[in-house]
Amino acid sequence: MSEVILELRGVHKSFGRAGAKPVLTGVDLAISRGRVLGLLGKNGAGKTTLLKCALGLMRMSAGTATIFGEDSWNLSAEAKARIGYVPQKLEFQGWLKVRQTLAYFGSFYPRWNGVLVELLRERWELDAEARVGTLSAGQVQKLGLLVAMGHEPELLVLDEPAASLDPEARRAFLAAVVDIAADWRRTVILSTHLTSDLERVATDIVILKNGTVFYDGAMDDLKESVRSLVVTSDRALPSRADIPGVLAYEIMGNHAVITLAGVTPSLVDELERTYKADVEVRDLTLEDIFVEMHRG
Amino acid sequence: MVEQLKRVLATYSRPMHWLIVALGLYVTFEVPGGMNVSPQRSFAWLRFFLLVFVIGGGVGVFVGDHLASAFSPARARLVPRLARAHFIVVAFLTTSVAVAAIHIGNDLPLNPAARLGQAGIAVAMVLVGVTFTWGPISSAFVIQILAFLPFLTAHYEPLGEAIDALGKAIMINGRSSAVLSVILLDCLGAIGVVNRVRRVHEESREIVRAAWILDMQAGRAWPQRALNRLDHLLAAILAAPDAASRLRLEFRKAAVPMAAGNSLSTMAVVIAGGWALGLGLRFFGAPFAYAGYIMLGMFLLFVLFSGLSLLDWKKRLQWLLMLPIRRRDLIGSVGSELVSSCARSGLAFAVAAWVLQSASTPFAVEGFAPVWPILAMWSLQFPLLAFLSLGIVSSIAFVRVILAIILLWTMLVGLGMTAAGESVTVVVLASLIGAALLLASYFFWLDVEAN
Repeated sequence: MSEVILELRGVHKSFGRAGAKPVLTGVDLAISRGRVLGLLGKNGAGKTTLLKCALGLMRMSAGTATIFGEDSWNLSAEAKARIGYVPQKLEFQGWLKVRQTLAYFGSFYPRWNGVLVELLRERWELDAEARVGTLSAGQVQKLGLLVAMGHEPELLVLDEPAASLDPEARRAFLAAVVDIAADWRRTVILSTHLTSDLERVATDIVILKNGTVFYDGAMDDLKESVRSLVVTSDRALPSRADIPGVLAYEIMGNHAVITLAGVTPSLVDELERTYKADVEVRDLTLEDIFVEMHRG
Repeated sequence: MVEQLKRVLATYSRPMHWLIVALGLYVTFEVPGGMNVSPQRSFAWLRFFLLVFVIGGGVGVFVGDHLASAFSPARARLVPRLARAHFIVVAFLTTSVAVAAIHIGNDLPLNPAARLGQAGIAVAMVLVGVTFTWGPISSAFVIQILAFLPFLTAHYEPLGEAIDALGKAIMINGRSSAVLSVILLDCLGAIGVVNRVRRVHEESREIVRAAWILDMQAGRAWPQRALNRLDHLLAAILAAPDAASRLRLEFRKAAVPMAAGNSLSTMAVVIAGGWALGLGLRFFGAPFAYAGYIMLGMFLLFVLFSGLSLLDWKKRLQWLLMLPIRRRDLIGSVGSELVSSCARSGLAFAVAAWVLQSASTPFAVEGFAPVWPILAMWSLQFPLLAFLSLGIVSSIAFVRVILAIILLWTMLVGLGMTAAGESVTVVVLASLIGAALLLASYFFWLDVEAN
């Protein structure tokens, strides 16, 4: 079994007076080395809060978080040097040039890969001599990514990293993530709403719902498991589907679309027999799965 | 003109506006009661200052804003941050009338230095085209209040007698004629500014300057000299031996508005400025007894700015806390940099203030001024910094307000005790309380979350 890089146990986080607004209500998660994990959840599901608790930027109300075996809140300088983080909101010094900003951040890290940074900077068409204050939101995002990736971190945490990027830059960014992830020693956590991005790069998916982990597993397993069944029968179909794992059930007379987790050949056979129906199994995109999971 | 005045009145259509007006009226009636107390009672002082803040910050700014928005041409109003410089000046002038009226009631000559300082700030704001933030406004009012501090040693009379005194000042008392001229000047100035606001357009000098400042803030129009200086600074940061030193240097650039690294030049500039002011006042035949205190007051303002820069620093915490440096080392190195920078600069201001107290002009040495009152004001920066730090680290707005009031009260107690000749006690207490609170704020910062 591969080494666990980041581990969360029973993480609770509430805001407001006396914890009036619970955001995380018992998150358990273990992320192994070499994985590219996509973190999905609706707005306000607690993705950013979870990442900040995991990185020691926010105090948990309860629970434990460790990175490289160290308590997240009290990470050593050595452990931090192995982490790269791109927050949602980026705040750089506007008076510095891009080149200077990279030099400034690079000066903190013993292993700063200037060649990689220069390569990516050129690929992303970021002007080295431009003042940070003059950059667009997308360009600032690229700069944030360069700063986070320059020291080739073992753990790269990206909170909505591609939100401000144009399609071309997003593709280049994803290619860079794939390059990083190709090194089996690296772990990437990517929180995003762009499910198409996750489908390209993520090996694992964690879906947050109601403050807890709703799904935690491999991307392939998820797509293999959650599918839509299009049922067409000669007779009227029941108004409710009494099948375990149903995420959504839509009926229109003798025609029904059932979305469920845990589709197996035997289940399909059983449906065909019970309702004397034709059952067509359809694959779903990650976005479809995400929407269906939140419909119920 | 009548139409425009109607528009000003029309803006008071929302309940919130009436609430502010009601607050202003309440303050108008409350001020005399607040002032009819012995200045030794610190709570009464606090009350008085809060009321002056409300007059200045609430009513003055509010009226100024409405004047600016109502009188500026519609097209010019589309220019980003149009007329804000004017609006601040209007706020200043309207407030000045109120504050001057209060002082007339006490039959006191207005401190010419304070008036000159106010006028200077107002003019500077127009010339520079200052952009609107609460910072310049609050700082301006802090300057104003600090400048008026010497008057608090006097006994204030109720408003009824103030009105009598105003009559005397106008009709009889030649000593207060200067006050009357100040009010007249303020009124003329206000009319002039409103007139300017009416005519301002995109090509007006102050709007062009304001746009330039906006560009500079965005990093588009930095002067080459400033850029060279920043390049040197970056080189020094990069050459620093360790992460903590780099962060200290970077924070010094970002946070400390004065030349903290060069206290001698700060001292020389403050002395030269004070002497220039002294000579100017002497030319008009006005006394210049409070120069040193005004300079120290300005220093406290700088401390305020330095402390407030922690706000900006807090915003960047999510980056900074992920740099390869332990949380306690990060907080400790930046905190110690802030305190030591302010202490060093404060010493430069204190020495300058002492020189100015001893010799208000280079040609008028009036003997050696006492050192302890100046040291007392210098030492007050430590509780000031600590309260600011605690307020910023707290995420609860109510706590911030309470801390701000305690901070104001502490400063007033300190200044009151200094005025009452208990400077040594102030130095000891401010140093001890300041050190304890700074330590407490360090522990709170250790627990800060990066939101």
